[in-house]
Amino acid sequence: MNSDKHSRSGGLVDRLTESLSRSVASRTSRRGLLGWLGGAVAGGALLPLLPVARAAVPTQSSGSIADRGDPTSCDYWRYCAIDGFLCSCCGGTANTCPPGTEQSPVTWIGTCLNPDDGKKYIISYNDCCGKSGCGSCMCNRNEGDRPMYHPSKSNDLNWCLGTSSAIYNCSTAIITGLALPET
Amino acid sequence: MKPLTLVLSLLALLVSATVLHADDVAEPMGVIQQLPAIYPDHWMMIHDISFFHMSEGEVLVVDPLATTQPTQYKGMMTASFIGAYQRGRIRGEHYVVETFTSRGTRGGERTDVVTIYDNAGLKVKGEVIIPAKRMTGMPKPIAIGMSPDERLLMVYNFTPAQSVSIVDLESRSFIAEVPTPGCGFVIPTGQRSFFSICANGSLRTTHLDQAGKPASSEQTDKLFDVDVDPVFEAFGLSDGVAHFPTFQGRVLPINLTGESPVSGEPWWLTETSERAWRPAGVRPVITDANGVGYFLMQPDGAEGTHKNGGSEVWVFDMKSHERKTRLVLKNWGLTLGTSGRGENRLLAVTNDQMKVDIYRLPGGEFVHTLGIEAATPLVVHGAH
Amino acid sequence: MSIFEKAAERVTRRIAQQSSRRGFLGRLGMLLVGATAIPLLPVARASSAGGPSRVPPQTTGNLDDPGDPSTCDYWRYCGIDGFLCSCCGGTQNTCPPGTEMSPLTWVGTCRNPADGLNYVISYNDCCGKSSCGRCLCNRNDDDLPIYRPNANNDINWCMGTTNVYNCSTAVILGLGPAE
Repeated sequence: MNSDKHSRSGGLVDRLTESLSRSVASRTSRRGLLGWLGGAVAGGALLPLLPVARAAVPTQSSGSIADRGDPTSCDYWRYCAIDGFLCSCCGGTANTCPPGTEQSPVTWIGTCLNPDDGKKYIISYNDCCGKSGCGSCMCNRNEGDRPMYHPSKSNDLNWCLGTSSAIYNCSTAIITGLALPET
Repeated sequence: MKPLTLVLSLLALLVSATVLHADDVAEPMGVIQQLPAIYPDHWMMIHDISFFHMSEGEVLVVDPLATTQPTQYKGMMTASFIGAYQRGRIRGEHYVVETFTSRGTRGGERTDVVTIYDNAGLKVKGEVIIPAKRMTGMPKPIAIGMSPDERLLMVYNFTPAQSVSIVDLESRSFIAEVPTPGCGFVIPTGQRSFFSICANGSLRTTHLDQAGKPASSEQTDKLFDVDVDPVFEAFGLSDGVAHFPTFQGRVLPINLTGESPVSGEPWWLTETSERAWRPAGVRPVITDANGVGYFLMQPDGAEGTHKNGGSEVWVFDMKSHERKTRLVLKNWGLTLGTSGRGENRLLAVTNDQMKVDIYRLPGGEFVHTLGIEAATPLVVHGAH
Repeated sequence: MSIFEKAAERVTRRIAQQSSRRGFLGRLGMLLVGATAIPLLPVARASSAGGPSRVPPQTTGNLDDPGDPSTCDYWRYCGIDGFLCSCCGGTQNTCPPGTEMSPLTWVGTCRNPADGLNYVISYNDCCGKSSCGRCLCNRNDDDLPIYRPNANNDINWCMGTTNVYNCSTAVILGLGPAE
């Protein structure tokens, strides 16, 4: 993280960055990467999270200098509030859907810290729908997640709504903009 | 045809030969097991939401005190596409709300139904088709509710427009769909009302008439800050009061005995010095048949850890809010369930290996880990 | 074994080898040679006795019917292919609650180690609920291959009922041929 960078908001951003970095640390523990999944899920879908198995999945780069990280890995910075199968492992990418699926027009929103530039981005976790569950790269992180009665911040809902089929295949993480500093 | 005649006569001989043989070994064909019409109260219905194969979800009927997989596994009901389950005690029935699509996992036309099973036969006795709008997602106990007389079943819809479908379980018919804009879930209050939790931290109450048709609605003031410390989508019921834990470790009590919910003063699960302990999990709170409260607690709660589950279950007197004891779990727990009455009260904890651990209550003695296999058994209901 | 039984056995065997399944069924409307055919892994043995609870294996309680019906090496399962109903709320010869036993089935012959005799076993499926998923077992013992699958041995024999396969039983039909 670029600890030497300071925004114009100074102390506020520092405090926010600090609290986020604490949760980054807890996120990198295995339990923090797994949410409701616990330690083992049928089908070996957790394997890509382990360093050894990561070698088996070709690393994808987003191609942007300020966006490093492995989009096939649960600890990729954009996935701070994702819940589902990573489209990167399912024929799509972090921000595109696999062939033949349909992207949901409605979804939940997260705010994740990009460790490369120290900025918070709004992430839209659009689901890809119309094919049965991908089953690979299951990932659940819940930063900023709120209960399902606050739908726009809840990753527990099946967001394959407004599509021709409600069958869920995988989840993307699309940057929609920079987060405004909290007042 | 000569061969046919020969075959027929010799087969007749085969049949008669087996009948005449001194050790008649032929067994009857077509025998189907039956379960008791009234289940032992410690039995459990374990809902495997089958997250990786959602269309093949199932609810297992289990004897958690039996000692082998085959003796634990009593039978099952299919629960398609992360269904919702409700126990029907008065009629000895199970209600499974599920979603079907005409082209299977490829999609097609969607149909949502309330499927009705009987205790003994585990056969489909009937179904009620409801609007194909029910909320699908992680299973929460408040996505479905029943009036106390078990006449009305209520199902939360999310399209993302929010509403509740009302079903009459006696006539097995769909009654009405009630809009609940901005508010989600269904928690029955009184005899013919329910409330939903709104995104701004208030509650919206809907009153129904005797038949289940909407009559009126009202809204409370904001009771909690959804961004700072929201309530979980689960409560422990004790003496008519629903205790909702919050992310940071408070409990918001809501009295359900009248037609409108009445909120009480929130209380803390933790002392000031132990605020790092927080409730967490898919269902982090249950109450047993005696009204004792159990909360799944994790030691290092922080932003984003509310679904991680916990290492301990804290036992509370829900009237005095006094913590009675801390049960240290054998395995990290993801969600809680309970069954049984009196001396036979049991705690079910789905652990981080997706197996179900059984403990006795209220003491917390570990019994065993169930041998039944399930991919994601994230909800456990009791037969009591 | 009486002469009638011997004769009946020989005839039954011959019919099974010569007739297509459909023809047999069509003419006689009786039990049918076929396969409970769930496409499965070639070697899939249910976990052996003990399981996670480390309790000694079950038995039928009948000394003439030895072995643990919840394990793949139970003597009756010599030609089974599917989930064992004993692990699914049923038993080795009864269906789980709420399912329906298929009338069409695969028939095999297995040797009972208690008396050394061969028995004709009917592997009726239980249908109408989704796959049990427990105790998957596939054995194709060729000790006494009396009945052989034809080209359609992976047909789902729940077709005659509600079509959805839950698990397989192993019902004794009668004594089989002597060795």
